[in-house]
Amino acid sequence: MEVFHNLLMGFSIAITPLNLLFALFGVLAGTIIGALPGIGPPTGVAILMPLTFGMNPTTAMIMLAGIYYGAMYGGTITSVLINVPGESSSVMTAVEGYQMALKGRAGVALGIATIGSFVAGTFGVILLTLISPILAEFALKFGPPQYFALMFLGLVTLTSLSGGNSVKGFMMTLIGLLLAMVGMDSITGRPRFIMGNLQLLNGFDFLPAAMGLFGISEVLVTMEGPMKMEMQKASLKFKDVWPKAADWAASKWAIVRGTVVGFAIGILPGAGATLASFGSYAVEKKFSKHPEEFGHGAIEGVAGPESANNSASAAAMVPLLTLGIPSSATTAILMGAMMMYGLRPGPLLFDTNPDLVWGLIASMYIGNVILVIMNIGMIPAFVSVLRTPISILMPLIVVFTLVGSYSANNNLFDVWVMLGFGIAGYFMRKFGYPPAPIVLALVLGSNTERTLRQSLMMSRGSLGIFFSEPIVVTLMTVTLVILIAPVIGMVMKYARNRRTPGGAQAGGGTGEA
Amino acid sequence: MKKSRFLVAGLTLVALFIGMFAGGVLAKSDYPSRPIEFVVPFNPGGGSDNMARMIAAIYDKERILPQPLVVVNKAGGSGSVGMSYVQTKNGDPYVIMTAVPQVLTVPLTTGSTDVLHWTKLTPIALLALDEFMLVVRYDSPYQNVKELVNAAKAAPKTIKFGGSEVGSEDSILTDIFAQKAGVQFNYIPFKSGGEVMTALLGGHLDVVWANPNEAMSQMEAKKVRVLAVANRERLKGAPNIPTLKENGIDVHWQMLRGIFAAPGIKDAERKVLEKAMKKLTDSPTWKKDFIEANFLTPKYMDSKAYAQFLKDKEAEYKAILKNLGVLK
Amino acid sequence: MKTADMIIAALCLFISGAFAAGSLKLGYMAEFTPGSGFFPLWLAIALAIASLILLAQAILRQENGAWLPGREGLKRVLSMAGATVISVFIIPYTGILLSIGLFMLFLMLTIEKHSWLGVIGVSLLTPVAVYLIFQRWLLVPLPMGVFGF
Repeated sequence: MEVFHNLLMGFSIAITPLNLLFALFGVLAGTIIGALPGIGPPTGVAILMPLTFGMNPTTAMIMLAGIYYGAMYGGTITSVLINVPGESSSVMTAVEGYQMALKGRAGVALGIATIGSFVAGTFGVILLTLISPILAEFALKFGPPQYFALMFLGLVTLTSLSGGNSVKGFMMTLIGLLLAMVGMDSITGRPRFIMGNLQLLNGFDFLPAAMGLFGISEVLVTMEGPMKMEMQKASLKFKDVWPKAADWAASKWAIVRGTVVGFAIGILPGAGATLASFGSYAVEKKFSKHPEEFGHGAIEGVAGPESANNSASAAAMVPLLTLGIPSSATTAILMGAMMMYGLRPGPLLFDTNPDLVWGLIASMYIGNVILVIMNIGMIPAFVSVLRTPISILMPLIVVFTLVGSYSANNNLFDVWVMLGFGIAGYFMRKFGYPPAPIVLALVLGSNTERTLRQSLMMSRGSLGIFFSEPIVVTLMTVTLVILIAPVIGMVMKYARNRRTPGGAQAGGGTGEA
Repeated sequence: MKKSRFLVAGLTLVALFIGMFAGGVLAKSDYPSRPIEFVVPFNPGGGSDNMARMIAAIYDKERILPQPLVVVNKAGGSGSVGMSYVQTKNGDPYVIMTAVPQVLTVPLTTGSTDVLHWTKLTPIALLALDEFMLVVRYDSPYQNVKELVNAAKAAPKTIKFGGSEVGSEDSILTDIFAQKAGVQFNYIPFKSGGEVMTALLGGHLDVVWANPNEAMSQMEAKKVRVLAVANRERLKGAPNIPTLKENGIDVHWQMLRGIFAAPGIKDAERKVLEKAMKKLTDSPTWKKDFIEANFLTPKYMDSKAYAQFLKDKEAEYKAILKNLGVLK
Repeated sequence: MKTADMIIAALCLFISGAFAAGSLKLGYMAEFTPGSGFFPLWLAIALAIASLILLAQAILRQENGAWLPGREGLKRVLSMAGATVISVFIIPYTGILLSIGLFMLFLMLTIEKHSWLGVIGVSLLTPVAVYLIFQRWLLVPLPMGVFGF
């Protein structure tokens, strides 16, 4: 009951006109920042932080957090419309959502993403309200061996994410992993494979890679075809852009699963919204009755990941508020902001500043409602972007990726990296090499290697550390099952085929009766 | 038809130029006459970033300079990307950057001192010194430094010691500590201070280094215990925490937090920046919200003293790194 | 497709060779654990094996379908790719805003016919919008050229 009392107090703080106004401003700015490529939530929050100096800390935090979860809604827009992920957690949406847009279903993709985001965001805040301390304890259980098991699971599912020729998918994964090795080795602190280029010390950032592999390559492929496209004829009437009954039926469980997966991964420090959206995509493909549709505009592939990144952004507030530990770049900045307001983020924050914590939590409920209303209302306007003639839209997309890849680190080198990936991506697309595994391997690669080496350092070389504790054992078992399942499946199929005549007769008999 | 296309192109070009010149050219007057780019060579959210944003906020609030500082993150390569960027801005007084000891250690450990070196920048001022604290979990069996050292002596290389990558300050400090105490630890490197603290709280590590702003709030909540601070004297803000020296281990290490400008700027311009930084360190907001809140030691040095100080420190680091086998 | 796969397989073999050579110079094992070169070496070996499989698949296949787009399409692809590369190349001299303006101008004049007003409007508005959003609002220090903007 104390929770409800606290939450009520939170709402009494969040509902004041001033706080409402700044919540609105925050989520609006967040949506725009999420949509702009290169400028992700961490940069967005950092840039707008000076506006909050001199404000009451609660109001300031309400606005800054609004930018954070608002950006999760905004990232969808450019992914769906122009195949350029606005920020990293929307990469999977660029894969699936853009295919929907090509079929004239951009509005449906945006609609389902908005609803999924709302459901997941709100559910995430409810969990944050009710059981933060327990969740925080769970998150702490994740040390290097647990992370390694998680990343390993990610890598194993990753190769299954790409359709087509499996050798090609595997090769792209390996290329991505090798590229992830470039730069400073975070264990020894020495550079590897940089070929004397200091720009490579930080390795290949995955956002420019994603912009090139998805955005630029798509532009080039589009330039081959006629300058009139199906997607331009999409109706803007609200009832046409709104998801139909069949879309709901296909998406509702994807949203639920995305919410759960997103929250579970989101509370882990260092994993975050990006991994959450990948995880959800993998889960959807596994659960789907028609996995072959993935990569060609499967609505579950938008609904799941978009829900996951929103519940993950709510989950990321758990370690920040309960432990005073920033679990992602964005929450690190939120923490820095708190310190500038003279607060002491830490395990005691709930006790020392209940008004701030509960006001912030309450404002997240309100912010999600504002976002869902705003985004749904704007869908026709967003979709109308696609009416721009192709010969203008495509160069504009290129401009967008150029400026975006520069702004991510304010570094011209990244623009060249983006271009290189773009041109490589064009040929990959032409010859049936899937781009998504490269991007995902870039994200997972260095973390997988680092956590493996850390784990073995901790155990002084013994592999037993990967089979020593319930979480690791569970994750490792799941991974092994996924690895072995196709083999078992093949054996079963073989066995069934041998018995086919009898089986078919029996089936036919019941059908007639 | 052809003609008109060229006309269009020409007109647009002219308009582009006129428009941009109007926006770009500014009346030249006294320095600074436009905003100054304040480069943070690390990602948003870290200690350097916090400091830079705090400085920019105070400059803004107290009108220390007629123009604002605009914080820009140029992360990468443990600070070397931002550093090489500022190095290329020869003679441009509108670019400054935050400096931490990576500016000294990274060129050394990566063997790139010929291209990347602090002498290719203009040191402006040293602002503060940050502390290193030896931290264990609250329920740890080690109540004090002595117990930790004894445990390490009894079983060499078993105590899991966390910090940032090998060659970083955390690891150098661990090596010095181990050497002076005559023990060996099992050092496990992580990517950031946040990760180290998380792993400590989760019971994956036994002992770690942390800056006071990371450690103090956890200590107050009785999640961790601070065994000692790597300073010769106890901290004013935390007088109950013993020093390593009191424990018979004479290790002294502080993190330098300072400001550099681009190379080749005029003396007058350097003086303006120097004076502005002095004014900053005298401001009460700085003293209270940054120095005190983060348990830092205020330490102002002007350009000349700072340069000398860096030179000494570099020689010291070099000797240490050689001794540790990181440098050949 | 056959030729393309063979070229790509060869390219990947080269990449894996380069990484393998690089990783041999790094430590294979550290005290308790894989060293700096362990992971990249095994990744490079796996890539080499995968490339060889791809190569074998490609050689065994007969078809060698056309992949080049039509003449008009190819022209558009090349002008888009070329314009993009050139506009990035000139950024250090012209600044990003002028480069973007020129890029839009060039492509709007080459890909498809547009009205005068459209061409001028879009080529001018794009850099202006980028300037306002990124430089003014989000305070990104966009790269400036020799003209001071």
